[in-house]
Amino acid sequence: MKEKVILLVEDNPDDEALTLYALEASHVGNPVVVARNGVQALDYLFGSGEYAGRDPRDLPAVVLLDLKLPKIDGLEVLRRIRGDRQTALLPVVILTSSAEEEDKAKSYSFGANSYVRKPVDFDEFVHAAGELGLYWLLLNETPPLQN
Amino acid sequence: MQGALPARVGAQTVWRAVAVWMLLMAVAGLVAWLLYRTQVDANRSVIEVTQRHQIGLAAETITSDLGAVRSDLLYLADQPLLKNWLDTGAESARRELAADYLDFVRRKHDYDQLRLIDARGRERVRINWNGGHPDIVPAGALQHKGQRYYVRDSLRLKRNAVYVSPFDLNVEHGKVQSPPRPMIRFATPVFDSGGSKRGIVVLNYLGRHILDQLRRIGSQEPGTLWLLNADGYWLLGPRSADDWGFMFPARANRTFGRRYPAVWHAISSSGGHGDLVGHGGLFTYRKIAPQAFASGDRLDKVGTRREWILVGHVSAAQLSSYGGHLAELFGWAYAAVGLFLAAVVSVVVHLRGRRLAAEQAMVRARARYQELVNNLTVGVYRNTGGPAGRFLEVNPAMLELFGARSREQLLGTPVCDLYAHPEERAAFAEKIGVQGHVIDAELELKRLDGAPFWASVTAVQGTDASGAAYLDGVLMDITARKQAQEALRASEASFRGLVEAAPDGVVITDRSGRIVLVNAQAEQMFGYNRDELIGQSVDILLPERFKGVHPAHRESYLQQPRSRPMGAGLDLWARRRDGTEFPVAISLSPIVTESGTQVFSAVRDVTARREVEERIQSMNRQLVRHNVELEAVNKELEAFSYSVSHDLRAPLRAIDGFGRILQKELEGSLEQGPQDHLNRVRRAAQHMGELIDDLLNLSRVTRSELVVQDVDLAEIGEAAIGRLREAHPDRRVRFLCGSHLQARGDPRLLQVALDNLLGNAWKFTAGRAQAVIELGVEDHKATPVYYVKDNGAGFDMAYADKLFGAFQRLHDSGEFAGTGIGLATVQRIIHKHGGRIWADGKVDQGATFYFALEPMRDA
Repeated sequence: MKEKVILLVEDNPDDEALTLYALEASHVGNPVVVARNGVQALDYLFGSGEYAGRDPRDLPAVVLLDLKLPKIDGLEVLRRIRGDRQTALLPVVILTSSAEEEDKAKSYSFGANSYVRKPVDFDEFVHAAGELGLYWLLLNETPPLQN
Repeated sequence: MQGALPARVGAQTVWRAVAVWMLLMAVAGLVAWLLYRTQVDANRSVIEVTQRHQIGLAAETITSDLGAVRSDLLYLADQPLLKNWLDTGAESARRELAADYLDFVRRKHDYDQLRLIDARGRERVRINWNGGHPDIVPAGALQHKGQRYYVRDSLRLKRNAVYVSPFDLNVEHGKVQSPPRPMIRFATPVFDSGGSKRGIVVLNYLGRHILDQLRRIGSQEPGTLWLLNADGYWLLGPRSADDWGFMFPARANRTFGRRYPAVWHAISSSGGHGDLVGHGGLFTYRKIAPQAFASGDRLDKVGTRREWILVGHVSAAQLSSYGGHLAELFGWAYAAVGLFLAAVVSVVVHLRGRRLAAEQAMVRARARYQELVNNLTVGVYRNTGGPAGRFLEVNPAMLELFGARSREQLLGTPVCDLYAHPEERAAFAEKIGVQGHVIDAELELKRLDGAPFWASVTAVQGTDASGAAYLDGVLMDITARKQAQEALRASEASFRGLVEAAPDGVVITDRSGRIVLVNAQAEQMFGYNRDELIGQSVDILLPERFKGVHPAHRESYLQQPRSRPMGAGLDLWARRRDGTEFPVAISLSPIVTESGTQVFSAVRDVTARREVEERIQSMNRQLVRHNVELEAVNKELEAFSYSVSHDLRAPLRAIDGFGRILQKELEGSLEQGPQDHLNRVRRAAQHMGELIDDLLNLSRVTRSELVVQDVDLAEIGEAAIGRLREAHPDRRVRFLCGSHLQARGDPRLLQVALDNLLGNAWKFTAGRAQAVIELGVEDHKATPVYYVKDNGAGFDMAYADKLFGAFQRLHDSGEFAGTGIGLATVQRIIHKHGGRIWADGKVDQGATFYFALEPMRDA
């Protein structure tokens, strides 16, 4: 069975590299698709734009979503994911450096499944990424596929 | 008042009226009866007199007529022709005589026969009246009458004596002539010249003549006239059938005596005349003796028997018919009197009823007045005037007013003794004497027990029939009124005092806006004297520009007067005497007085306040400007914080992350020096991350809104310690805390504060084998003061003022890790609550952080 992809939405290349490293260090073997902004993320999910032709029913295992993104920000992406019947139940983990209460509250109210603050200490980050992978990729049962 | 009598009185009055009327009728009846009797008697007398007069007249007629007959007879007896014949006896002489007699008879009418009968009883001359055609009876027809009683009786008479026969009916040839011819025969002897008695002259007098006369007399009212002979037979009676009873055997019993025995008996046994009243009526009688008109010479016995009796009879029916007429008359009169009396009695009763009703009404009215006076709660009295007056009348209220036990007690007390100041009595008496009255005079009187009270007296002077003066008055206890007046005076005085003492200028105006009262503050404020303001229009205190509209405002205020507080958002200006204007605040209150609604205005000069207000306003404007600036700064700060939390942390993560990756990649190949340098790079990045987090925390605290509610600090503290124990499971720390620690504050911020304080305590007790952290509260002048106490490293109080500064640290970072921002954050949280935080400690003796969440009383 082909392993499901992880959709990482991250505009900062350093963070992208570190996240990929952390996932790898946590032995998360799923392929990671990186979207550098909100538009790209949505195109991937809905099979539009540069990802036209992709089967939108082939959903990622989890979306790791940064909030601060060019073009369409993370909260808007989350809102659109939850607004579409196809992706309404898709696991979305907010992965951000913001510790603002407001961001946290909005994310949860928009339907985020988790809110993870990217720590400065890389060891902690690796530890957190490992836990994320364990939970969302191995333990969590994905909802039945919508037709 | 008519008709207002009660039925009982009315009936009684009616019965009494009927009784009076009956009594009057009885008296009137008696009087009428007496009058009637008198009248009847008078009538009787009149009748009697009339009867007597009639009888007299009849008697006289008879006497006169028969007297004339006698004269005729005596004349005939003495006639010369007769003498001549008697002397000569010649036939011629007889004839001459006869012719003369015929002539006589013809002329007289009264005689039926004239005869000359000789001494032997032979008729010698006879003239018959013959029904109006007298003739001389021829010698051959002459009769012999010698045997007749009258002839015999007459021949025995002396000269000039006259024989009068009984009054009877003529008998011819032995029979009573029919129709009956009443007849009286007169005879007298005739003598010749020689004086010898030669015979008699006989005149048959026609009684009809007398009877006719009697009938005529008797035909006059009232009675009938009868003629009786001595035996009581009627010669002229009630009915012709009863007459002449002695001449007809069949009528022999028809006598007066039989008809009226008693009357007849009385008449027979009495003298010449008289009256009798019996069952048969009134009988008036008179006896007539024929000798009265016959010769007075002598009376023969026969003559006495020949008396006639004239009887005037008025029958009982006739008598009573008079009486009956009278009775009817009197009856009508009586009835008329009865009606009249009835009318009089009814009028009297009516008038009396009216008077009675009026009297009763007066009695009732009097009772009403009495009741009125007695019911009045004001004293009503009459007393004698002058200084030594005494009460004549008092009503019950007077007894109560003066506390008298009885009326007599009050009447017996001199009026002046009832004055609280008896000397005032004289003045009062004089005043009333001069004016004639007093109205609402206020006097201080006293009760009989000596207790004084104030009274109002209204009295009027009067004079009684004897000319003595008296006073009628009403008296009221006005002690309460007096006290009220006193109280009012006192309250007015205090009102004036209040007004004068008021810090504001006070101006009281009447409805028309005239100033009634001002206080000293108003005088001072407006620069007028009180006298200049009183009576003026309030407009003189207004700037010229308001004078036009103010009356309308005033009027509309008076339509709906209500209290208006000072400075009710109005921009008001007043004008001083010198024309300068100043801003005022005015409060208005309506005052309802007896003379109408007045307006109480309190005026305050708000010039100073205006200035302050203006200053405040300018400061407010400044504040607003600052606020706007602050907001902009805050916005920038927020943007800064956001950017810090995102953008500043990302490079740090890269430094640390790639440092770590580098470390890992060079693991084993690095020497101690570069390895340590890489570690320092990573530590510095991590420390900066902590600093950024703490700074963001501090800024969040600053920006966040305070949401105050009841919180339990013990619960928050326990949770914080729980987290610390979890993070540092190797530490053994004793945490002392009550089960409840109530406070009011923002739970989220208080959690941040306690996290910091307890985190500090936790951190600084790291070296203690027996670490103790205590969270509690103590009262500091009624303000709860919470504290966090530890037995850790403590601090030097010399640096206590640096404890709460940001980035200030009292310990080496090598000794205790930290950013130096925690306590600054705690202080900001406590200050945000309006409270205060301070610390107490000594190096190695532990530290105690106190904080209050509200302003301290002595702060």
